[in-house]
Amino acid sequence: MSGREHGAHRTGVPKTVVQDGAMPALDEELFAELFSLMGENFGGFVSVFIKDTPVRLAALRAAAANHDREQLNQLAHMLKGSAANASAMTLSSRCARLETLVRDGSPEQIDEQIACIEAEYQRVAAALVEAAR
Amino acid sequence: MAEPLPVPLPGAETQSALESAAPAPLRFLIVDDERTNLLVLRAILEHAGHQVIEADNGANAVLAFERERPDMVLMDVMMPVMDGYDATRRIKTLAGSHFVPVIFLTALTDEAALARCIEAGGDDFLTKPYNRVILQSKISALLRLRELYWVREKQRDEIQLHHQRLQQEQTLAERIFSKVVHRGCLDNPAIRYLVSPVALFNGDLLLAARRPSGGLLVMLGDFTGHGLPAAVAALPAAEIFYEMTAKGYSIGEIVGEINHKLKSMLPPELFLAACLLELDVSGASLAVWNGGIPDVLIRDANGKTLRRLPSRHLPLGVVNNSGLDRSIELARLDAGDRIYVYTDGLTEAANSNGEMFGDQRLSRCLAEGADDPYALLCATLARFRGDIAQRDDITLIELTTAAAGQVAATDTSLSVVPPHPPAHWRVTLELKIDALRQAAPLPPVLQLVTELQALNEHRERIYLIVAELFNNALEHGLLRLDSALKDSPQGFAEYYRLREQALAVLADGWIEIELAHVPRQGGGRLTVQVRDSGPGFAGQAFPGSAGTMTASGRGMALLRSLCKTVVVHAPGNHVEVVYEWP
Amino acid sequence: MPVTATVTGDGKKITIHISGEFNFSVYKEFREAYQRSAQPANTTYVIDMAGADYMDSSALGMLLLLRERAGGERSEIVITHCNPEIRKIFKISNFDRLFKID
Repeated sequence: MSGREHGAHRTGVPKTVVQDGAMPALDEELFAELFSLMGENFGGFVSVFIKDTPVRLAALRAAAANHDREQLNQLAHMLKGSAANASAMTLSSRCARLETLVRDGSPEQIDEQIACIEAEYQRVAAALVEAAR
Repeated sequence: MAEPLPVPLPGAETQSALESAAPAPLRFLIVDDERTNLLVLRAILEHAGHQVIEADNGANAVLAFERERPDMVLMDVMMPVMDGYDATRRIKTLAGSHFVPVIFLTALTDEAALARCIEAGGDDFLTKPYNRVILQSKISALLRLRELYWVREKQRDEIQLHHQRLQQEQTLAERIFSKVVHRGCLDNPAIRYLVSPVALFNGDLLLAARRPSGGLLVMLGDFTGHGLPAAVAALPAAEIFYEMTAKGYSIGEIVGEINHKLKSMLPPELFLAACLLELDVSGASLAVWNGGIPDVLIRDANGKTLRRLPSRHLPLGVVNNSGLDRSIELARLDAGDRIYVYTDGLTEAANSNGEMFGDQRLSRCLAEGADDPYALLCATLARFRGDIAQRDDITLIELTTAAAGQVAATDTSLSVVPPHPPAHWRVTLELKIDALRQAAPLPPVLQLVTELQALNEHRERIYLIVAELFNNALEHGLLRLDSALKDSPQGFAEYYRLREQALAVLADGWIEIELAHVPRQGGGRLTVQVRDSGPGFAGQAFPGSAGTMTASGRGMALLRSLCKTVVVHAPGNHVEVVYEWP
Repeated sequence: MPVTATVTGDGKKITIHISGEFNFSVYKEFREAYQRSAQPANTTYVIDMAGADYMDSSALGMLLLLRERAGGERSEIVITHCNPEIRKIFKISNFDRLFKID
């Protein structure tokens, strides 16, 4: 994730790196919006994000273990929203998929999707932290 | 962009949100339990120059709203403690009549969610990721809406103020109106009436006044329309009615004056349907002039017969006096007869089925009423109408023959005549045959007497005396009519017909009225002499001298009761009476 | 339309049809209808009440306005097809002395 080496702007906006044909962790346009919007507070935003999101993810895991579909739905919905605000559209769409699965998917599918979400979160967090430096 | 509106936003420097792309600085309340969402929203709003207050759940949002009173609220839906729907409902209630827009922060997943948002009071939605431009546009649009609310509220307040002022003016006007119009004598146990106006100013006019001679005059009028125009036209009509009644003018003369006044005063489309009735002092006869009012009803004591006196004339104020028939109709009354006069608001009153009360129901009530047809009629009407709103003014009056009262009645004239010390004066009025054929000369005579000597309190009695003497001189002295005719059924109208005929045919004759006044201890003495050119009553008893009070007149007995002395000079065509005052 | 009018005979005759309630609420239409005549004094007016089911005193007032415009005593105004209630109103007010009621 060496965005800087790929010709980042002076503002420090990282160019997202496409790895193995996967979707970018952060949507380019949205991220530019977010970065310019937050300005000096971008760092603060990132630290709140990486502090709060793991808590939600843990709750997600717990809800899956309890087979609590309603709680799963709510958490998936919330994560979908905060991910979008963080310009992490891939993560957001994975949460959207989880919402669907909560309705008519099997517990195995749900577990699988949660794993996907956790993995994607790692990428997003890394990208954000990198951009905040 | 629309033009700026003149109403300033509170606490804002700029004129209106419509002027520029960025709205004027406002206070926002943002509510979400996700801190990152709050950060993004705060950044967007503060960039636009607004003030931001945060809350992390619905309950805290309501508290914050109460404390801070923001201009707009951005509300997440799913939150612990209290959700966004609940919080929005409460906030909208707290806001009351002020428009505080609430934007729900939600991705609308389905129609049910949309319905819930709107039901809770939401005005718009914002989905994630939050877009600066989109939010700004939504804010502008909602501010435009808020502007409309303000303008409407301001206009409503202005209208209310204006309306209040108008009400006050009208109430004051109504008091003046009442003083002039309602100074008559409707307060009489033998007169019962129902007055039910549709608005503050009644388009129906009900007046009653006493005759100097003790009879009763009633006028029922129905103006086209109601409200202020009717009230304004009613004032002169009422004045004329009261003044002329007090001075002893006949119904025909009163009708002429009022018609002339209204014709000159009112535009062509306004007129007064009117009915004037005169109940003579003995309660035995009723004179009616009906122009445009429903049938005057006379119910006999048992309710078996219902006589009708229909409208025979045009309403007042429609044509000039030259085109108006002022003749009256006479009806004989028996003891126990009841007279009903009403405006068409009564028969046209509607019930919940849209039916009208109608003539038949009215007649039935009067026929069945037994002891109290008036009460039955009022109760039936009330039951029929139920709660249905009135469309037209309703007026109903019942007179019994007892409504005609005593001789000395209260003076209803508003004019003030200053008292003069008793003095010596004499007046002689000679009326030759052509003058006798014209309208009664008595009102001017009475005017002369009361104004010369300011004998206002004695006006009625003096009028009675002069009238009695004059009528005797004319009807018995000159025309040789037999007043016994007035006692028989049907005879009453017949008598007056004969009187008209005889007067028209009489070739020659005169009547002389002389009034002389001298002071006396503490007051004065008025001597009234009436001479006629008839042959007198040599050898016969003076008509009416039998002493009994007949329905046709009071005769000698009354004269003797009012006057100090009554002298009939031979051969009976010269009567001299003395009236002392106080 | 509560009030419609047809002009015939070179503008010498105006027939005004009233439907529904004949009262002050149709004042504007009624006036517009009779103002169509170029020479009001020489025009015959026919007021067709076939469709009218109710009339109040303000309608009588409007007819008086028309009568004045049409020359007062010399006016030619005929009122036709009155139902019994409306006929009764004309009877009580004795307006049959001012208008021809058919």
